[in-house]
Amino acid sequence: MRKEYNRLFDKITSSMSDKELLEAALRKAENMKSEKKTINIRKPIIIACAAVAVLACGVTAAAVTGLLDFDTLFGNRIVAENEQLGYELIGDAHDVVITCSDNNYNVALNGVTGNANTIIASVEVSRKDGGSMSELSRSHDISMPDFRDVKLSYDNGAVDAKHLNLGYEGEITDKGSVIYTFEIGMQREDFVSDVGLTGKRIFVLLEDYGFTSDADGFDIQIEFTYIPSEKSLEQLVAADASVPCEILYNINPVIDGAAELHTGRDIPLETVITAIDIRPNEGALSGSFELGEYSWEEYSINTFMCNNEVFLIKSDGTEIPVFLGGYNMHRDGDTVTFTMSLEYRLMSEATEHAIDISAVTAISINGAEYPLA
Amino acid sequence: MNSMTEAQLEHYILQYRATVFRLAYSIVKNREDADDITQDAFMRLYISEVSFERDDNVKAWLIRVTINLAKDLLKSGWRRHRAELTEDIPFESRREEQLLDSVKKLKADYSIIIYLFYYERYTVNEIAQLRNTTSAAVRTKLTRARAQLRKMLSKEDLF
Repeated sequence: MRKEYNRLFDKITSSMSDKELLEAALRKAENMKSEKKTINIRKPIIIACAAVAVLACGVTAAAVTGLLDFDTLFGNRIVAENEQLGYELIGDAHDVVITCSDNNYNVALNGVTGNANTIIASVEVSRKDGGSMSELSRSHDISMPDFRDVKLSYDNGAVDAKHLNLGYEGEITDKGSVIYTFEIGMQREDFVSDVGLTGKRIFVLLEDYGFTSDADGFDIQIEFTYIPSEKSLEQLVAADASVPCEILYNINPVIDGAAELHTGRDIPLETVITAIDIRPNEGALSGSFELGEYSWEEYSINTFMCNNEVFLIKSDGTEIPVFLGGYNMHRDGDTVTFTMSLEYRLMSEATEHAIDISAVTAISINGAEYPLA
Repeated sequence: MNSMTEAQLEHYILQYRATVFRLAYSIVKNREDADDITQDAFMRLYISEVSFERDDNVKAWLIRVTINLAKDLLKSGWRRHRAELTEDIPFESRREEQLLDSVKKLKADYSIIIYLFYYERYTVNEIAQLRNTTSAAVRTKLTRARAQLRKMLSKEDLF
C-alpha cells in the first residue's frame, strides 16, 4: 500500500520551476514588508469579567451583546480516552481474507488475540513442496535501518525479535511449517522483518494496524504484507519488490470485565476567554478552562483545530476570515490556560496585505456577531 | 529584518518544495492553489525570524505552516472554484487514478495524515507533534482514513 501512495504522490508535481518559486516567494516577501511599514495599530479587547458572568449564569452568550459564545467557538476539546482502564479483547475471526502465497510458500493467518497493550497474531508459513522450513539454513543478524534497535536472528528454527514495542517468535511445527507469533505493542505502526532462508528471503511486513469503532462494535484491523523476494532489505525498501500479498483480518472482540471502555468521546468544557488582541497581520486569543474530573495524565487534550467559522467584520461589512492557529497551553492544577493565534490576511493579485484593524468593528463566530469595543 | 538569506531560501526550496507542494495539494486538491500555498510557505520561511538548529526543524516548520495555509484557504472565500477535470497527472492504471480520486475525496485532516504517514514516512508520534495533537487522535484518524479509502476503493472493485 505504501508503495502505491509513493507512486501516486510522486506524480503530483508543481508546474513552477525552482527559480520561479524562489522569485515568487521573494516578491511576496518584499510586498509583505512594504505593507508592514505602513500600518502599526494595536487593538486589545479585554472581556474576561463579562465572559465569566455569562458562564456562571448559564445564559447563552449569543443572546448577549458583546460577549462570546465559548462552546461554539471551540467545540469539544477533551478526548476521553482513558488509557488506564483495562479490558481484554477476545473474539473469533471473521472476514478473513488471505491473498498471499507464491510458488514456494503458503501463508496463513491462524488467529489474533490481544489485550489493551498488545495485539498477538499467529501467522503460519509453509513450503509448497512439502519440505520442512527447518531444512532452510540460518541467516545473519540483520540490522534494521528504520528501527535501529531492532535485531532479528534465526536460530534452530526459532526466530526472535526484541524491541520495546514489538516482538515475534517463530516455531517449527511437526509438519515442517513455521508459526510466527507476532506481539505488536500499541505504539508501533509498522516494521519489517527479514528472515533469511536458503534461496529465498521472506519479508513479512506488518503494514499497519488500527482500531475502529462504530455502532456494531469495536474492530481491530491488522494488515500484514508477505513479500517473497530474493532482494535484500535495502533493495526491497528502495525499489519495487515482488508482488506483495495482503492478509486482512478483522475481529469483533468481546469486552471482558466490568471496566468501562472509552474510545475517544469528545467532551466540551466551558471556557473563559480573557483577552482578544487584534493586530494588522495576526491576533491572539487567551483563555482558560477547568479540567475537572478529566485528569491531564489520563485524558487527551484535543487541539483547537475545530470547524469554526470565524470572521473579523469591518465597518463596511467586509468579512475577513480568521483561522485559529497554533496555541500554547499551561496547566496549573486543574486549570489550563492557553493562548491561541488568530490568523487572517487580505489578498489581491496574489499579494498578501496587512489589514487596517481600525476599521474592524466586530468578530463573527459561527454565525453570531459580537461587537469589539 | 529577516535572518535568512536568498541563498538559504533557495537551498530550502530545492530540498523541501516537493514536500510542501504535495502536502498542500493533498489538502486543497488542485495545482494552482497548491502553487500559491507553496509560494506563501517559503515566503513566510524567508521573512520569519525563527532560528532553526537543523534542517529537520525547517521541514517540520514548513509542514505546519503549509497545513495552516491550506486549511485557511479551504475556509476562505479566496479559493478558486474550478472543475478538477483538467488535472494533468499521468496514471499507469485505472487503480492509481481511482486512488488519487479517493484521496482527494477525504477530509483535509485525513488527507494530511495519509500523506505524512505513507509518503513522508512520519510515525504516528511524529505526526502528533507536527499537528499539535495526541498520538491517539492521529491513530484514530489514520484508521478512519484508511477505512474510508478502503470503502471507496472496494466499491470500484479496486481494493
